[in-house]
Amino acid sequence: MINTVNSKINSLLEAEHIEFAYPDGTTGLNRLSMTIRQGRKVAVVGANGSGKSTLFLHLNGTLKPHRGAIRFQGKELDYSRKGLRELRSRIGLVFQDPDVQLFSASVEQDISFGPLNMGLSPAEARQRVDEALEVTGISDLRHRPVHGLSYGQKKRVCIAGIYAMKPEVIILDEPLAWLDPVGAKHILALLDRLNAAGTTVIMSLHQMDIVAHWAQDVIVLNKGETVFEGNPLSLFAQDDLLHRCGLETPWPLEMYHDLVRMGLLPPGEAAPVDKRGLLDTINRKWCKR
Amino acid sequence: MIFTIDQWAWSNGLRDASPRRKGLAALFGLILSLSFPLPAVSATVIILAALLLTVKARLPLQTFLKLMTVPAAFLLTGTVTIAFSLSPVDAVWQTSIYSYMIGISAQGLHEATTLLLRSLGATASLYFFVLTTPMVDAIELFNDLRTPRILTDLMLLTYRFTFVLMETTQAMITAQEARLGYTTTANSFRSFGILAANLFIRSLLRSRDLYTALAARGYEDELRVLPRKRG
Repeated sequence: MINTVNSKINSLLEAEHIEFAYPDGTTGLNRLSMTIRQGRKVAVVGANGSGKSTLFLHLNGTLKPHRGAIRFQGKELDYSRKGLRELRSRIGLVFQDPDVQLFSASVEQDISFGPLNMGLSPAEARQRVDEALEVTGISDLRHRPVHGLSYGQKKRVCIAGIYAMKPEVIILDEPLAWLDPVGAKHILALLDRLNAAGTTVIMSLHQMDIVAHWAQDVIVLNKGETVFEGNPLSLFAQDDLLHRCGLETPWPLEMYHDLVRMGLLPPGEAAPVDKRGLLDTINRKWCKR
Repeated sequence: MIFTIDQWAWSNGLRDASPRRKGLAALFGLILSLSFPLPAVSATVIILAALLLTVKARLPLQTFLKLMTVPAAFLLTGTVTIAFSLSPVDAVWQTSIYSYMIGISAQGLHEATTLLLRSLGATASLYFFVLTTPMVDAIELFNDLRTPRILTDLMLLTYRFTFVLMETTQAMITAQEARLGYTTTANSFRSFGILAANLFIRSLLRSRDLYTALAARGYEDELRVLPRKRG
């Protein structure tokens, strides 16, 4: 918990002691608290079944906590029809399985759905669709039926459908799952662009290498609880925590430890978690400038 | 066959033509062939449809002919019986079975050909529409014609999820086959039962997920979408 005072000030989305159990008795969330700050790139990590998707469904008001509170910009969520409409136009959620989200066979029709629901005029919606197609790099798919697209292409259509609503927060449930490395890179670059334009980006993922170099903040969930909130550097310094939550260590950090063990790097320095950090450490030791 | 039609609907030369005009053309052909019992009229409609499809929509003639054979086979079995009669007066061809005379009368033949061609003309007209118009455009047309939204929304979802269901079924069958699910008759029966039951449950779960995903984008009562941009 780095700098609590600061995080309170910039807090955009907050959960406080939320509890949720599924009808079959499975615990979804167990007094979970977390804070998302405005304009950040946030990674939510944790093993399968740790509550990531359940948390996301709470953040856009699909699920309502049995106890506890969720606040957006300091105000508790309003679960009325009107309140939810407003919330969902400001917090976009991209689902993991594109076939769940894409309901129209036409790429552009599917993208136009959200903007029209927000009450935009057809002309404005059309503009949003064109822009979303452009930004996500799928303008060439405009006239292709959804059932003819590849998995990665469908994924981008899903993101375009949310982007077109211009939400302040965009939440993505495992957007990199099942993608090939190039596809994953495209999605990450796209998310960086959205973030640079001011959107707060929250995503769940399992690749710790990506967490290390992409995320500014990390939230670790374990059995429906928050067990860590902070930056990647301090997360990866906690070996026991990583182990307990079934998380891997990023390869540059492992490499660093190996190099220290081999006596090639001095111990005790701040351990690097990404490739650039590792290269810098090696540089400092071996290429005296 | 459904997939052939769908693929052409999305990739033919007339895809971006106005669905209204394509609908009108199909309707015109349909009415012509149904209301005039003249083989010449029906034949003209068929040839016109074939010409429009091959020249304008750039559909290979072979594909069109292949598609026509399916209903043609049906129609042929139905109309052949009309051509035959007992002791025909103006027989073109006849044969005796015991004491009965069975044959094809000139009138019967004429009636059968007329009926066959009329039906084929109507079929060709409809083919023209479905082969040149993507389903989403057809739904848009139905919306323009004031079809109740609940029906067109259902059409939209049915169309999209037909493919999802097909893919799921195919994937499940492949997975069952990989574990020897269809090696014996007994296995096949059991596997098929499991497949059917699971597809049903999956469809239910999927419909719930779909609702959640739609709600996340502000769905309330109808699926509002823009008309597809054409051209």
